[in-house]
Order: sequence, then structure tokens, then C-alpha cells
Amino acid sequence: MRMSNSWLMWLYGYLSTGLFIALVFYGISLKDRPSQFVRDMRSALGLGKTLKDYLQDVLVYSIAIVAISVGWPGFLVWAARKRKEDRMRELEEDEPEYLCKPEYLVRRVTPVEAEHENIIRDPLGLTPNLPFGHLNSAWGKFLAELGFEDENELWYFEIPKGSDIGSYLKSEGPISGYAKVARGKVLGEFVVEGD
Amino acid sequence: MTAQVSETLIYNGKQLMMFSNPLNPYLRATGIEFVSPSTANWRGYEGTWEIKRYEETSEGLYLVRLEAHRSYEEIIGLAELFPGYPDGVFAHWFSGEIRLPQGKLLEYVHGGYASQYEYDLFLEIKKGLVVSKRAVHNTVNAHE
Repeated sequence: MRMSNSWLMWLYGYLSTGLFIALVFYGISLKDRPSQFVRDMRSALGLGKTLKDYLQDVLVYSIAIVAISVGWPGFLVWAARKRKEDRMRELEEDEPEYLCKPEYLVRRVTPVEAEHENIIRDPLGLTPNLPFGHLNSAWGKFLAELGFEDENELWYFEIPKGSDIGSYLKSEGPISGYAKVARGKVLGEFVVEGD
Repeated sequence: MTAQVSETLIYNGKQLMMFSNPLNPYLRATGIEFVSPSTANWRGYEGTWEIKRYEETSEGLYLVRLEAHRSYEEIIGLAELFPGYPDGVFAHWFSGEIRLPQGKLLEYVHGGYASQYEYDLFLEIKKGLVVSKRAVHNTVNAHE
């Protein structure tokens, strides 16, 4: 008899924990509901919830609460994985898009080599006599942001005319410049020639 | 999308419409942005360019005038963007083709630089220098 009581105690404890977790997640899910303003607008447009919708919601939430109460360890694992995947997706979406992809990297260079390669020959002498001409200040800023103290490398890149430079765009001329690269990944770019 | 106001190119003493924006790579590299004053000018500036000749047969692309909207009201010129270079700025950052439409308007397209004219003169530019030219005779049917 005592053994049976002990088993029931564990069961109640397990289910209570599950119920608590289910209610916490239900509370969190309420935050994602449309605002009162949106709900009022939908009602005004005749798109408000019907009695059937309310009953459906009650049924779905009830089933979900029972399912989580019973299988909460599995639910927590699933929720943690989903949160991690969402975070990864957000990070990917936040990453800046560069014209230079790793396949366009040509050779590693030093800043001094890059500057020697970019003395502008203006036939009419209307360009500053500095590496990269009118882009000299922008080059200085790019170098300052490069962060040579880490494993960052400076690479020269060339994108041939007609290459994909976005979801829908192709380059109408050659694009070249210098990229900040770390472990094969492009982390920044300085375009010195483009269209 | 609205048809966009063109850039202007002075070539052999003539003022031509230019359906290309050679200043854009410079603005991208320097992180400079302008404000659009209207739906017909999303880029926020209008530039006048000139093909200047040197050594008899060689030519280069120069920006000679600019009206750029730092804000809706504040317009800056070449002297503000390129201090010390009021006579022209060599477009050494530009490589690509510039399109110069000429002749009769064959088809108006309410978007970008998509309208078609009787002729297109294309100048291929490499780091600011003209490297080749070609002309295309357009017909309405060719684009249908």
C-alpha cells in the first residue's frame, strides 16, 4: 500500500511539473497573439473569430496541455532544439551579404601590395596622387576595421562580368577589390572597381 | 516603380541622356547615401559626366557636375563630395558599360531606365577609361 502511494506521488509530481510547463508555454504563446487593435479590425472586416473557431482553439489548447503534461521531457528537448534553429536562422538573416563569394578570391595580399597595385593613372591629373585615388579614405577605414590582430587575412578578389551578384542580379562589368577573410569566410569587402 | 531621371553625359560637345549610374560604386565603397527627393529619383542625385579626350584617341569618364540630396532640402555639389576637384573627378572606380539612348522614343516604360529609344550607344569603360564602343539600332518589334 505504501509502495502504491509512493508511485502515485511520483506520478502526481511528474504530471504537475508537466502541467506547470504547459501553462508557462501557453502564457508565452499568448504574447504572439494579434493585438486587440488587429482583432477589432478583423472583426470590423467580418474576419473575426466565430464560435467554431473559439471551440477549435479550446480543443487544440486542451490537447496540447494534456500532451505536454504527459510528455514534457520530450517537449522540452523539442522546444530547445527549435529555439536553437530559430536563433541560427535569425543570425543567418542578420549577416551582411557581400558581392565577393569565396570562389572569387584570387590571392592573399598585404596592404602594402594592395596599395602598390592601385596607383591611379588619371590621364588628366585630376585624381589625388594616393593609392586608390578618391577612394583612399575609404581604404583607410576598411583597413582600420580589418583587425589584423586576429586571424583575418586580406585577399584580392575578381568577379567576372555576368556573374551572379544577388538573387536576381548579374554583374554588368567586372568587379574587383579586396576582402577581409577569416577561415575561408568573407567578413568584409572593399570594391575598387565595379558597375 | 517610376521611370528614373537619367544622368547626363557630355560627349563630343553634345549633351546626352545616360541610362547608367557610374557614381554608385563610389558611393557603395565610401558608405555615402543620399535622400530621394521624389519617386523619379530614388538614387538621390543627378550627375553630369563628360568623356574627356587625351592623347588624341584615348578617352576617360569624368564627373563634372553634381546635385545630390543630403536631405530633402539640402543639396550638395561636386565641391562638397570631392573637395579640391571642382573641374572634374576621374571615375577610376567604374568598370562596365554605359548606355546612351538616342533618337526617337519607341516605347515608354514606367520603371527604371527601361524605356526604349531608336538607338543605343554603349561605351565600355575599364577603370574610368573608354575601351570600346558599339551602337545598337532598336525597333519596337525587337523588344516585344
